[in-house]
Amino acid sequence: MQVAIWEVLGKRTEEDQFAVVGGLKAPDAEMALLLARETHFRHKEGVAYAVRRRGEPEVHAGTWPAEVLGGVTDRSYRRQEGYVGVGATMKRVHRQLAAKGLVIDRPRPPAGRTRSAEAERADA
Amino acid sequence: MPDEYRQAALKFIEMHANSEVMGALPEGTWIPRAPTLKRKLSLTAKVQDEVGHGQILYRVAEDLGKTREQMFDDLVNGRTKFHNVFHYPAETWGDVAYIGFLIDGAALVNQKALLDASYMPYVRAMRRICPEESLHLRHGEQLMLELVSGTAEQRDMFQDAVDRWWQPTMHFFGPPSKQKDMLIHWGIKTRTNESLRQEFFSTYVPKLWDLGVTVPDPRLAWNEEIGEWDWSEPDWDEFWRVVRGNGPMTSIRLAQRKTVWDTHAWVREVFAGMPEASAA
Amino acid sequence: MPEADPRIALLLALADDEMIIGHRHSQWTGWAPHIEEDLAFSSIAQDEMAHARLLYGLAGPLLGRDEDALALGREPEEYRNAVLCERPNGDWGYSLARQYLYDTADAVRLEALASSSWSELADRVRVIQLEEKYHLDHARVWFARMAEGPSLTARERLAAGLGASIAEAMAVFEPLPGEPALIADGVLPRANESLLSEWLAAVGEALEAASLDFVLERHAGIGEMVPTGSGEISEAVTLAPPGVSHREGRWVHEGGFTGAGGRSGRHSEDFAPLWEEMTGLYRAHPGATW
Repeated sequence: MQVAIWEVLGKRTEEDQFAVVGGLKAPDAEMALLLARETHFRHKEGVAYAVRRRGEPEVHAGTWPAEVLGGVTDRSYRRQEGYVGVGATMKRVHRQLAAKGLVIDRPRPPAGRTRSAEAERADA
Repeated sequence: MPDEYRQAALKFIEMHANSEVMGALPEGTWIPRAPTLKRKLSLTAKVQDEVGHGQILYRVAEDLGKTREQMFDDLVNGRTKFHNVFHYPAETWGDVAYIGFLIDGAALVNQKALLDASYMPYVRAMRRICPEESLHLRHGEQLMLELVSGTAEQRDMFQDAVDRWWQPTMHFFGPPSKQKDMLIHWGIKTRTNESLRQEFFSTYVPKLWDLGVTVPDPRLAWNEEIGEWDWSEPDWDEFWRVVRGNGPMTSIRLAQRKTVWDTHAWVREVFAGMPEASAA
Repeated sequence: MPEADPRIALLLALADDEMIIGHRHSQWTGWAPHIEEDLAFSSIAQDEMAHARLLYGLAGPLLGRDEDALALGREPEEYRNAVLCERPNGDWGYSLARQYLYDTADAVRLEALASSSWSELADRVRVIQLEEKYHLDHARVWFARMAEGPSLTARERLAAGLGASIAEAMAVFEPLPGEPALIADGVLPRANESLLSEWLAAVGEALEAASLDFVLERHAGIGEMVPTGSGEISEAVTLAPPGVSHREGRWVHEGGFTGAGGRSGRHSEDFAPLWEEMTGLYRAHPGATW
């Protein structure tokens, strides 16, 4: 029993051509389009979308306009804009805890250096 | 494509896909219990993304010659593996914060390395997955910061999660690499387990210490002389027991998945556009 | 809670319906029987909870409580959702049937409220409608494939799901406490009975077209023979559970509701465990931020 594979096409901006952005499995174009809206465009990855059954030339365009792709109500919780300032929060909490004498002050690698010496050697 | 390469890549990517869908489950149990409306939404979206990553990766694996239906059937029947960390329960909201910050942090260390892999469809999949994981990491960091700067109970909640999850996290990077690791030979993996684990320590241990959170490994220390972290090897027998299917939640989770799989063959019929050849 | 303002009853009915059904839908995330559908249904779940959030935002100033206190901080009898929304997910057939019935009902209700005299509500309703359109599309596409596709089992599961949910779905339109005042003010532009009539006729027609109208006829519950005006039993009238009958080619509601009481805070046996799970962590740490 095989479910048909559909290529999902998207345009980042109005000026772009449709490009393949992924694939999904569905019985027909209508279901493929229904699903593609959420599988590949729920983070507002494009302004237009379409599907094409693998092996066939016909492109089926999606009908939902750019403004509703990714939702209309507040979706900041699933976008970068919802997490601006996390670094600053980390610093602030660290200062507060340091003032209470709670931080653990032990040797650590120099700031900015996260790759180990072994990694540097191995990748050289 | 040499068949040995195809088989190695398929197995690796299939396990990665399995891990994403099994990874949805520990945090998923907290969607109904999230402590605020905003976190209920953000956790649902995060778990949705894990499922989405599974969808992307199964698609890549399918093109290497195994159907998604076969992969799912193998997963729910215990014939294929998924990462050790997803065999454990998420006992408290502290676990949700730990998973979101440190397990996702560990996964991101691994996944950035995969951006240099030799198999281009996998690389393209990782290019879509990594930015989403970065968002999840910031979400996890926010959850963690709320706990460590919150009430005494909340601080304890997070510390308790660290104490329980540290060993599985050490296991996550895998045992000391084999002399000739075929995955590195083929370029499917690009860095050793030890190298990735060291990067994880350097990225996350100073942050935990800066927040007054201890790590339950008395040997863990930065060794300036050799430019590496000293640490205690975890119990590798436990690791092998878990990935072979004997983790605390393995049977329960797979049984639940199998029940849904077995009772919803009719949904697969709908998608195939035809009745199943054999009776459900 | 201030009961005096009948707008509160309306607002909480809408918001709690969305919150509770969103909660239920969200429990399919990671578990749905087709991975792409898992993603689509999770978006629907998030939409519902986002709608609840929008409506709690309007209720908040009226009640002096923030969105979390409203979503997670009330006692069980203060929630005004329809009983339909609190039922467990069951199998995909039930969940899909419920999504179909709930979202078609919601569409009728929202269409009326889009012209509410309470403009802040009407504004929010119009935003919500933009997202609900997708829910209708989803319901329609799935209904067609399950009802009229090649899988007999799919049809059976849909029928079972509809049979189990359709009576309680009608109670989405259970009259609100203080409804006459809301209608008089134009806050509720049409009475619930009128909305129900419109919805039931449309759903009845859709079921008939798919030969699934037996779910209305053969519903669990004992029907009473409904006499025609002459006192004789007319052949045109079909046996149906209390509150529903088939008259002159249309399904109509009469009498009471199955699963009544939600709008007054009376819930089924499924609400208490839902409430414990949903609100437990919030209530265990009063004042904590997360």
